[in-house]
Amino acid sequence: MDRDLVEAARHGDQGAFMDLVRSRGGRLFAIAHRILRDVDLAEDALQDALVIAWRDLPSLRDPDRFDPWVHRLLTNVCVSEATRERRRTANLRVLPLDGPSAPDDLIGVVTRDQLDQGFRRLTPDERAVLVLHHYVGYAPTEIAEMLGVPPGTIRSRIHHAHRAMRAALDAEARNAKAGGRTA
Amino acid sequence: MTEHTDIDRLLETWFDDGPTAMPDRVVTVVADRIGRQGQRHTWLLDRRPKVNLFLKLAVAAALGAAVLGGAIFIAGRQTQTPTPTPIPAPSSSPGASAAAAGSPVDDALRATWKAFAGENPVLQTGAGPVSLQFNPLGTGIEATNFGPGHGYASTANETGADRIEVVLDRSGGGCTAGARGVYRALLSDDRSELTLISESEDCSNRGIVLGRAWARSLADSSLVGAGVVDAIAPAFKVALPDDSYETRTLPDFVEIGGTNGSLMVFKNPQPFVDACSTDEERVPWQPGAAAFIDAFRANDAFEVSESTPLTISGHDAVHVQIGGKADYARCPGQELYEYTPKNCECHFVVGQGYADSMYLVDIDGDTFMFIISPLGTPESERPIVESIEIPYEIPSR
Repeated sequence: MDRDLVEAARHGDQGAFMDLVRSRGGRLFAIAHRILRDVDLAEDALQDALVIAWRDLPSLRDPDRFDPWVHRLLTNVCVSEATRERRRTANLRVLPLDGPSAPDDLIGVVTRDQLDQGFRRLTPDERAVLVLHHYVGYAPTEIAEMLGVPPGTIRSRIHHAHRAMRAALDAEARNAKAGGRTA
Repeated sequence: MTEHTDIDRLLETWFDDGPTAMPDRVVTVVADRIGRQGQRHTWLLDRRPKVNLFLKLAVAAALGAAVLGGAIFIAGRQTQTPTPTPIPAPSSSPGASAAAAGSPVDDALRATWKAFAGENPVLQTGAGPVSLQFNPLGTGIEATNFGPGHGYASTANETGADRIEVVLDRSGGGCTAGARGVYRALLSDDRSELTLISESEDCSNRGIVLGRAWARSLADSSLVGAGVVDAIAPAFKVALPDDSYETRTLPDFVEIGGTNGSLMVFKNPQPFVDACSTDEERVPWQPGAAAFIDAFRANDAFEVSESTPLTISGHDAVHVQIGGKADYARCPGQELYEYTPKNCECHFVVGQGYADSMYLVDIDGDTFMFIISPLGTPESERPIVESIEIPYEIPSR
């Protein structure tokens, strides 16, 4: 039982902790990757979050809350990393793609590119909230409880992030009608 | 946002497309790192009833320390072991033990040191905070934030009383590998400050970097308890008993945790309305130590002692004990939600039947709260309280 693994890990059982890592690593890596949009950064963030989880595990009061607790740690690490990354890349300009875009199965390449650009312009907190809400499936109230901020703040972040993402897509649509593309 | 819109579906589809497998090396790296990383005791995170278990251990340790301390120290000095050993009684210099040529630098130097450097036209650097680190083995030294190439990573040796020799590891920053320098290393009486004075230097730029006054950082590992903490503003200086310290920070919170005790510092602590609720609703913010204490007096989950006026670093301050009532009827046995720094999305709890000794001081519109753990008496805590210097000006040149 996972609860037993968490209890054992809380009491210093490294093997139990690594079992928890193996069983949840894929999902956690996916979350980190979606927030950070970079494989290497996601890998580093996941490693750091797991080491923090090991270190602070004795503070987890309810073993059944292990998953949201680890999600919170991972989100905090990702937000910190994304903040640093934003500072590093703030002056970089994104160049436009050349050539026509071929449609793919669900989302066009152009749309995917615009989503990616729009997403990168969001604040790290907004990016994290969108991933927790749309990918992990947490409700705003659950995210609020997890991150320790008021539910209204989470709803506000989601609302703002949606608006920004729509704006990115609308800009693309306007450019497509005009027959050109810009960054 | 509960409505399901096009953007919802688009984002869900977009997020579904991406890697979902954890790279194998994550398992390898994490297994290796946790093998070297212990788990943090609960009391380092939330002050819980375990604090009192810790108190018992600390009392036992204190009783034994008088007998064992000298013996441990003698063994440590005779073997010149690079492993952490208790620091001897304060001395005026790191070289008081007259180490042999080529020996690692004294334990008291092995720390991160901080300063504020002014603009420098030679190094072409602007003004800003800088730091200097002696490695834990006492065999190396490196500066940071002096600009690219100006770290001057060097091997370090103690060559005599108050003297260290540094040898540049790699060419760079206008100097060639092997460049030697000899410095006098003078510690202040409380060992919180270090002054490096160049006596000879092949690498003049390194002389500009190293040759200045430095303050020991307690935000990094240190075997000496006297130093500066700049994790919250303004920076402050404090002298804790020598120990092996590890620091934890949150917004407007810092904890300097040692094996025998810790100091927690909060800026603008804000009480919670309901000690039993995880909603963590806060009492409307009111500045000042008096308002903080009044909020607890008005909360029937807590017991508040008479407050005692005192002075901290020349400022009017107050000492008070606040504790959770034993078996508080509304949520018996639960930890009580107590307060959070105003700028922190976090919480601090206290066990029912346990109390904290709090020193609160108002400075320029902000309230700072110092808590010394384990709980002692005003007399036993006085040396630490009296050592606090806030605000503290980090050495500048």
